[in-house]
Amino acid sequence: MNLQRYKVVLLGVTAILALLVGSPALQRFLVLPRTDFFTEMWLLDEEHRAENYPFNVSINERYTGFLGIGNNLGDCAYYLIQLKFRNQTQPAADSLNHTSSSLSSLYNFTVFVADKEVWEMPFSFAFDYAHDNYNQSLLEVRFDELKFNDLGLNIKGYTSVWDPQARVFYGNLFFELWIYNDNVGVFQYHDRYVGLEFNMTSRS
Amino acid sequence: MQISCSKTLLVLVSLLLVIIAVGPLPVGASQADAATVISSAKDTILDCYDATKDAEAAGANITAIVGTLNEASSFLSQAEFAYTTNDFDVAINLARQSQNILINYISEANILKETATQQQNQDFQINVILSTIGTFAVVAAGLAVWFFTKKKYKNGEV
Repeated sequence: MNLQRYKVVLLGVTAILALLVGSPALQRFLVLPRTDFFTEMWLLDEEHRAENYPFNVSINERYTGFLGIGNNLGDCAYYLIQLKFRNQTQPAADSLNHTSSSLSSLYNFTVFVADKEVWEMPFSFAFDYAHDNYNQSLLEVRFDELKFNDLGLNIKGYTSVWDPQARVFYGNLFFELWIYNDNVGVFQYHDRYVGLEFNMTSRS
Repeated sequence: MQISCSKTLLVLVSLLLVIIAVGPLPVGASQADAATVISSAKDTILDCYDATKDAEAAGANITAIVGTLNEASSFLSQAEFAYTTNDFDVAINLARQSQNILINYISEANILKETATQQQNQDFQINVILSTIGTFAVVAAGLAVWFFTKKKYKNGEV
């Protein structure tokens, strides 16, 4: 073997060994920084799937589901979830304008989620409401109470009129996600919401 | 007439003594009291949140303490709901439960932070310093072998 071939073999072996030995240090500097910082939010049905969401709701019947949050923001986040209810004419949260619904929250709860972790909560709800009958036709639903996780939330004054096109008494229960901003010390709308849409039937 | 008057006086004095012995009659908590306790519980949670973030930034596994923080946060949410329904006694009770859960929280978070910092330093020493020294040693050994081989080659031994 001539000297040149020795040189090539030696260079190759040294380089491979150096890379192997230096890899713990290299991996500290060669890891690409995270660029995607976001929060996931989801709503699942009672079987923990995104399939059989309740739609035709009966009076005082209890329905269940799961609400979840995944934090990929880079550090522990402090979230506020606002539970809201609306009919078809009341303002919803707006994904395009990145605004929350101007309706007042029925119930607030806060949750902390560490970075790269998820939080999930089972929830149940039931509506107490009545249909107003005029001339033997159903015209309006008057709500009385929303039971959310066995807490009685007052929704007196909420109504839903018959939507002849969709043929429903529309109701929309939704969760808005807010996040605590350390710099200003307040919760700000985090541009995420999930919800369920219902037809409030006259069944009980 | 005199006997009846002194009897009435005796009854009144006895009643007064009984009231003093029993202590003040319980009264419902006021809205202001509830607001103060809830506000204090909120501050406690924010302090704990800051400690959690510090521990996380140091590389600590904060899963367990975040669970405790969520438990306290749940009590606080219920306290705020009770406040909105004018149930101030319940609101105060729940807000205090929230604070009680967090009594040792900050010291636990600080311990996690310190442990994580030590672990990070140890990892840095092992991973970066030893690895860098090892790399230089490998390169130096390679050079030494090269010069040794070159010398032997020139002397015609290889």
